[in-house]
Amino acid sequence: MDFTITQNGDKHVVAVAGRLDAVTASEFDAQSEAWIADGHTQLVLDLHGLEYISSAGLRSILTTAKKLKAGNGSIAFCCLSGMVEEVFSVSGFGAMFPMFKSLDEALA
Amino acid sequence: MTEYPTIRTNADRANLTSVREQVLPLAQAAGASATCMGHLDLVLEEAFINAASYAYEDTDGRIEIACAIRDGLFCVTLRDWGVAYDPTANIPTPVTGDFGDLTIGGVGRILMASMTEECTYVRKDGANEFTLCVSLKK
Repeated sequence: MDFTITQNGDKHVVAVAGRLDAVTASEFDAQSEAWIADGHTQLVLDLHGLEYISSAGLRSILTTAKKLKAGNGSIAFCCLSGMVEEVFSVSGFGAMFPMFKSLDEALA
Repeated sequence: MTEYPTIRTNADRANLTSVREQVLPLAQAAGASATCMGHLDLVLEEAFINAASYAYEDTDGRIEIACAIRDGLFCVTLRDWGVAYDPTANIPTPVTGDFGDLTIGGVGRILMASMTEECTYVRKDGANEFTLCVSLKK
């Protein structure tokens, strides 16, 4: 799993690529803890490069979202497609979080 | 009907990658579509991680994975001899509302039910047998 990070105003934009599953979820957890510890509480996850996500990945996202919420932060998602978009839709996550078609929309 | 040799492994979450590497090429070689491969990948992970995490108290328990093709479906049967558990019972509805109150339990079972054509469980001879079938051409 790869992370490409850019700062856009107060938004911490993280492009996540690869797989977010039971094998890699701990890596995501460690990264997200570091983002929050560094004070990045307005998070935008750009998932255009994410090829696969399972419930283990959703659990990591939920954990991150709860930590951000507890610190008055926020999380939004953009650029989902294919199987990842299907998993968000079927699980209900797509209706629970701010979702955007493009990064520009997420940053507007 | 095509049946493949049974895969045997310990109930250790760390074996997921090995299991994937043995099962997915069988479907690929059988001409599975990209959608089928994605769904199979996911349901295999959810089912294996469930069994490896909850069937036994340690990682010494056995899990068997049997793959077969029938009627255009690629079917995976996971068998363990741990505590009885029916993953098809009381599947929750998709999560709604405020995520602050949400726990993730059950989401894997929602995904498995959605991404399979057949999803069946039997308790047989002291074993849990959980079969998941995905359409090869979907």
